[in-house]
Amino acid sequence: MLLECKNVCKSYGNKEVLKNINLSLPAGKIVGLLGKNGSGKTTLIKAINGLLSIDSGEILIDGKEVGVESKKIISYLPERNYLNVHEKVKDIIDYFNDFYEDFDKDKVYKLLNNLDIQAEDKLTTMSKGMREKVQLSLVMSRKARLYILDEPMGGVDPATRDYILDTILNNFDDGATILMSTHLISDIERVLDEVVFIDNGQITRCESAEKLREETGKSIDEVFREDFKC
Amino acid sequence: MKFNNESPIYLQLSHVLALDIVNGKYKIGDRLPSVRELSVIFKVNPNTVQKALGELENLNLIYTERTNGKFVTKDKKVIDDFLEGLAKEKTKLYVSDMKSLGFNKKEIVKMIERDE
Amino acid sequence: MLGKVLKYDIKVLSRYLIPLYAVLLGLGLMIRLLSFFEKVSIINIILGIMIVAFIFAVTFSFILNGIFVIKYYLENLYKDQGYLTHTLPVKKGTLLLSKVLVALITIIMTFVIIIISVLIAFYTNGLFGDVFKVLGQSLAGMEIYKFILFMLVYGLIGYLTTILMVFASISIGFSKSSNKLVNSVVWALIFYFGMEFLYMGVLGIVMGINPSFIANLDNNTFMMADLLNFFMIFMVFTACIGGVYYYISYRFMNKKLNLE
Repeated sequence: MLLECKNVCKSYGNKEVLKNINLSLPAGKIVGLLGKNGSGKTTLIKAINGLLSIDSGEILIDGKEVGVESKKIISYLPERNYLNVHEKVKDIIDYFNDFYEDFDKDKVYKLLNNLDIQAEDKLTTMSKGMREKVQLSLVMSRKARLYILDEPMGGVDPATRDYILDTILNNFDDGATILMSTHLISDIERVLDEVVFIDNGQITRCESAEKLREETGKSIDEVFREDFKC
Repeated sequence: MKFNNESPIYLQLSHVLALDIVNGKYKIGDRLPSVRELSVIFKVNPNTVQKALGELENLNLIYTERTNGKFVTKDKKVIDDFLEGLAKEKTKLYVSDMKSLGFNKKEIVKMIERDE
Repeated sequence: MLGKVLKYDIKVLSRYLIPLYAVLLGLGLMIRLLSFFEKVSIINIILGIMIVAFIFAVTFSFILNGIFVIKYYLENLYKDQGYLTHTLPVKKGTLLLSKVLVALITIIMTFVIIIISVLIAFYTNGLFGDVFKVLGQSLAGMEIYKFILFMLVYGLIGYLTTILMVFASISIGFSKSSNKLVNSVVWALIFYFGMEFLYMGVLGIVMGINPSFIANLDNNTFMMADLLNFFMIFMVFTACIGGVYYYISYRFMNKKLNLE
């Protein structure tokens, strides 16, 4: 198993945000982590990336605990801007190139070139959407074993969603696993091997996307709406 | 490209690709786009593409060259046979539909001629 | 890895510090230039204002340096940028050590720039001789170099411990799930007053061992060297507390990280 979460629990004060999460993902799958806002998607993703400590349980990436070794093989796209906006594009690229052994500098320049972004451009001069694309390009230019993308298509127009999905599908490394969280299910459901439904800090479904569609005769979007009807 | 949820996506996709082959979008002996390219074109999972190509391979419409990828068969007969099978199937479906509406064979033929 | 992290940390802090250095050196140069025309009364007034501004700039440089280092620590490790910093394949200890080293390097740089700008503004022939003479008189027999070295080391240790105190407060405060900044401030106050109590405790112990010490302070027979020994105890003590803060910062960053 590439990723294993065993009995993972996390609380903020009295509020339990992750309740005994168990999740195993093999290599070579595209997995959708689907849940409403505030369901615990982002918290789980942050825990896997070592950005917050869990209260109990265990998270193993390729058999290793969260740490330097796991960070070498995970390429992570957060749902916010994590770059220093005062930097030039080329400085940010050098930064990634310095720290990640699996980073492909030529690839990122090619991707940014297609977006008409120059090495000397500064992030401060770019729109929010453009910055997100720069971030995505950086993340997808790593030859990682596990890509974790938190809401890669959140809050963008449909044309940009297509661009983002194409970039992901075109660039992830062969044999890698992609874990993608989203609440815009209809846009990506065809792309998924597996779906994981998370609600209220608990995993309510974890199965093959094709099987779920076959068994219910419905799209995953429809199943999701029914499962989580308000 | 729209897929429905009634049958598995890989079957729908293999059908679409088979049509592309019989109507000549991919010609005899042509190299098909890679799994990744097809996955981007149709916005479906690469494993689904793989499965769809497997179906086409079972029908002998395509074959694999180990290092170079997938190619449309060089045997024109296979394509023609497939096309014919498809045509037969559609015709059967149409005729049985029309019969259930109460038309007989003669009337059906007449109708087709008039409509053309 | 430390080298790489440090390289980027220094680069970012330089961006904050270079304008400050430009102001210091610029003011020094202006004072020097204007002092050629100090006979002209209007220029003399401007010169006066500039000297006051210069003294302010010098005083605030150290504080500003500290603020920059802390601001960077907060932003790079505990705000949005932390999402990148903490997902680099780098040990937490390396990240922290780099921040401490960058605090040390920048304060030395700032100190050097201040000395240079003071010299630009006020250097005259025999200045060093005069300063040393005055120092020598008030040091009552102590070696000047030893004294200067002591002051520098003590200054650095005090500065680093203060910075580490804030680092530790931030690391604790930002491990909480809410009111992170308020928690940090509360912890900084706890540490500050805790430290004051400990210093009083140490003072008490020193006086317990050597009760005549305070009496000696009023006595003009006391030697500078005695005072130095006394401060040496505080210096070691401060360094130990700095070590504790370092460990707290590390521990909370490593085991209790809780990015918003």
